[in-house]
Amino acid sequence: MNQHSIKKIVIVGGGTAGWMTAAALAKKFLPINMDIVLVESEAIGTVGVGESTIPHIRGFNEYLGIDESFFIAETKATFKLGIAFKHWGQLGNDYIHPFGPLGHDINGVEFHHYWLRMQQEGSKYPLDNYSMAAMAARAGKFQHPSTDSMSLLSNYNYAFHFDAALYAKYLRRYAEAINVKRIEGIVAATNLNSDNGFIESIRLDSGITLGGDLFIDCTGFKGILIDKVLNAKFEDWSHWLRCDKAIAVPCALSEEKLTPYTQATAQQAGWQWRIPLQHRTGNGHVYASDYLSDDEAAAILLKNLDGEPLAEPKFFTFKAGQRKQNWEKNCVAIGLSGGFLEPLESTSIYLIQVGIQKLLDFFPDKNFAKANSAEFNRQLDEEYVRIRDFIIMHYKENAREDSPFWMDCKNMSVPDALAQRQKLFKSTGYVDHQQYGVYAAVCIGQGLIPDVYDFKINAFSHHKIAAYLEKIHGNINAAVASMPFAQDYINRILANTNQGKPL
Amino acid sequence: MNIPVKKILIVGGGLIGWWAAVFLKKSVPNIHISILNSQVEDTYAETLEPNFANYLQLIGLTEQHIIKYTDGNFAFAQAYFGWLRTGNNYFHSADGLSFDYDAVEFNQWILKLRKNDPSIKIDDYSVSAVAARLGKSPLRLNKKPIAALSFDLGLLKKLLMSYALDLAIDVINKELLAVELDSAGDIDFIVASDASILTSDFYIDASGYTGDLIAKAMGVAYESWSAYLPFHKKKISVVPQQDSRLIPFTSLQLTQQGWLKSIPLKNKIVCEYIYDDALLGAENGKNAIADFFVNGQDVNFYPGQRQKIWHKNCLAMGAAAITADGFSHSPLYLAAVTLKQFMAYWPSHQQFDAVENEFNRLMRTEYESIRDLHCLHYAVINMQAFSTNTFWREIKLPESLQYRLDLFMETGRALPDESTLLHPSQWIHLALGLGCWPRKYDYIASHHSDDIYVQYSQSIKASIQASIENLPDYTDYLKSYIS
Repeated sequence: MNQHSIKKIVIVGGGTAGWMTAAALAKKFLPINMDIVLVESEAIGTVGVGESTIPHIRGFNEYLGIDESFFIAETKATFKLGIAFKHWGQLGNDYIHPFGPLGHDINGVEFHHYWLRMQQEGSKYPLDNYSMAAMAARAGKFQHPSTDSMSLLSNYNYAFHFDAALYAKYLRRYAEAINVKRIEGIVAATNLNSDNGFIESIRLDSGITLGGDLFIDCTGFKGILIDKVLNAKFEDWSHWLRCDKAIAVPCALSEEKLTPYTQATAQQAGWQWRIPLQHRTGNGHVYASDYLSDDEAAAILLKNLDGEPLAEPKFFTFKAGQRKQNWEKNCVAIGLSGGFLEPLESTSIYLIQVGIQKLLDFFPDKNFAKANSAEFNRQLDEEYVRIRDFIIMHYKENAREDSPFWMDCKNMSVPDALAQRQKLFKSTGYVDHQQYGVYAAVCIGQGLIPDVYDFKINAFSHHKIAAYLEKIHGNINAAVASMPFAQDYINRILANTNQGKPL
Repeated sequence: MNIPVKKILIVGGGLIGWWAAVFLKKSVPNIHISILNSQVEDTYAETLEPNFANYLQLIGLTEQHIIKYTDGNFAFAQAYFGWLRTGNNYFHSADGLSFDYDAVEFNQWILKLRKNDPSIKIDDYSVSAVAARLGKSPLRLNKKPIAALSFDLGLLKKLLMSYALDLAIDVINKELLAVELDSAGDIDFIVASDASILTSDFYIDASGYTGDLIAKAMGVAYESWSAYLPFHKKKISVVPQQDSRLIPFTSLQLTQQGWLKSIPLKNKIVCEYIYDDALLGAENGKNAIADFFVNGQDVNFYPGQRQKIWHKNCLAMGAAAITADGFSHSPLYLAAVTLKQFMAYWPSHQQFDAVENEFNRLMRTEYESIRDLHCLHYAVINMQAFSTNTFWREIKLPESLQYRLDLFMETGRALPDESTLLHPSQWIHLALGLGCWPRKYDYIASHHSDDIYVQYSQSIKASIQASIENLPDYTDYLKSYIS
């Protein structure tokens, strides 16, 4: 530590973003006695719909040193192998965006080219057939991936569905145990330095004034510090992502066995999520209010539940977009205060994580070098745009003619880079490796089928490739058959978990 | 029709044309490759990055072939003489320098140490750099060598040509007379020196800087980098390597008028002097370097890149696509990378802008990263402000490099690069080695006291010292390696 080092961090807002940030910073600075304060108010609710995640969450828990079984018990978590997209692209469509590869690349040519050739030559098998994660998900099976990289049972990845409110609660205990100080209160005023506009302190409704070197805004959509104080502009993306409302309701579990995947079902003007937890199923309907009334949206949601609703439906209003600068002066926005993208690809918690990770990577000193925050902002923007374009693609690539919403989505113009990427995929099947997720699975799932496959595979005969694909599918089926049901697997973990001390 | 092209004609019989011919034919045996073996001026020697072995492997060659048949020689480091204000030299090496302490990266704790000890030199922490200084080999005979590799261009070309004999490559030993475009602006056919007409689905322009196809015929402009890389003249001399001991490193010597590069091979040393005309002219007659090169060959070169290297049914490679100053990433290496990327975007009869654009965008990213790495060499001269010559101060920095440098100098962090050719650590090590020490170190380095880092540093140096003592003399190593 020297005289330029940050010594006090103030986090405002105690939802998922606030407590994830507090826990990660506390862990990082444990050896150097950093002063970390989190201000939150019992009176303010959290949004907390982000109950479905992508595999990166495991890295975050690992970093904090949280035992997985304990986490599962504590947050009522279940396993997730991917997202099933129903009626996307066109009515009746049903594909999985899997956590794991499709087949294997052979001779440096990606698997989907082989699949494509077989389709052109008459085969009808869906791409899902060649994904371990997709096939296991459909069968309701799960076990931890094998550590033997030669085994098919290692050829997938996984994430969780969990109760975000319980997760935040747990992280609060975690952070408080390693010296994060929680203060109950609502921000009444923010005091800026009159010379440079930096935040010097915040005053709470209780009258307490809190000074700090670095302020982190986790106040959700309001963005109390970053927006009202620093006037950071918001970039509106709602002309591409037209859904602006959501209605959420938990319901009783279905009679069926646990499904280890998130269900995203396209509706007439939006889509519905289904996220099974241990004790209930989370449901929600994301829709575009220009095309659908709140009553209609609620009716669609309530008609499509597995079981009895367990609470009154809750409405949310939002706007897709991102604040131009998530880091401005000595204030960093993490979570919804920085930007919002609908949870179609379960990226809400991931985006929080990226913000935290990059804050740690670019942790400032009191000089707050411009070059440092500029690079933080650039990298974060890049991540937002990458995911934004990926989500837009789900709407754009569709052949539905059953509702004005889908027809308008089909006809909308999309960001240039996305249009270019889609044209490239259509004309060559080429996927840029920096793209999000299993890009080819989603393109093809949506109905964007490349015109050609990589001609280099013409060196193999039709029969050779057909036999090879059949073998992969057969091996996957056999591997899936050997796996336990996800329900049984999680029951076993819970039975063996000692719900004792968290740390 | 959306059918992949199966017939490619390469124009230009230099090293890069021949590399393209062999690489394409080996990678996709069922296509038809022909090469118009027209004359292209090649230089004498280049040094390939360590991972070039992967490319060699794709065409069935190994490092051993290069060493044996092209007067090849390993380079464990690139030595910089005269680039540092301290007067120290710096041996830049690809290996080592990854000694993280706990979670503290090498470059962060070394920064912290240096605050109290300005004598710290980062090349003391690289086995390859230390070995290169002492003329020893960090390589083991029973292991695959991982090191940069210098070679004689003419001999490698001969090797590739003999190789091509077995590959059913159609060799046309003629010069280029004319290029004819069709109404859409595609190349329709070319006319060879005997008035014969050659047609193909796709053409590769490996004709050198003039870009006989892509520029002269198709009119794709060249983007000059002369504001950033102002040199455009060099003198080349080849002298016999007379010392009985081989030299296992390349070197760059900064002078008042330019810089001198020497690439030692097994039997000769290729020296290139990159200089500014006006400066050298002014001091002519009293300059030892000018005297040395008095019988050398004069070569002009033009740093820059082709605005689009893939245009319609033509791909530009080599000097027709890009030229830089020669600090790193040799022309053959860049050509090989370009071609490998091209394989993934293979053209079809129906042309797609999306494919062409994406390929050109990617290659531009790569090329400009390489350019920026080159520019860093000039930037450090100005940052240390030790050159009295105003010439150096007039050299501009590309905006992208300025951004990178600001971030580095303010925070000690490297900018992650979209380029696949440069690892962020390469930027850091080169910058630190050439004397750019950031203003502050990362907070994480303060987790431990200086004493702990001093101890750690001493233990690294001791273990390097110990392993150096057991290393073989490089000349002996190479003898055994070949046999």
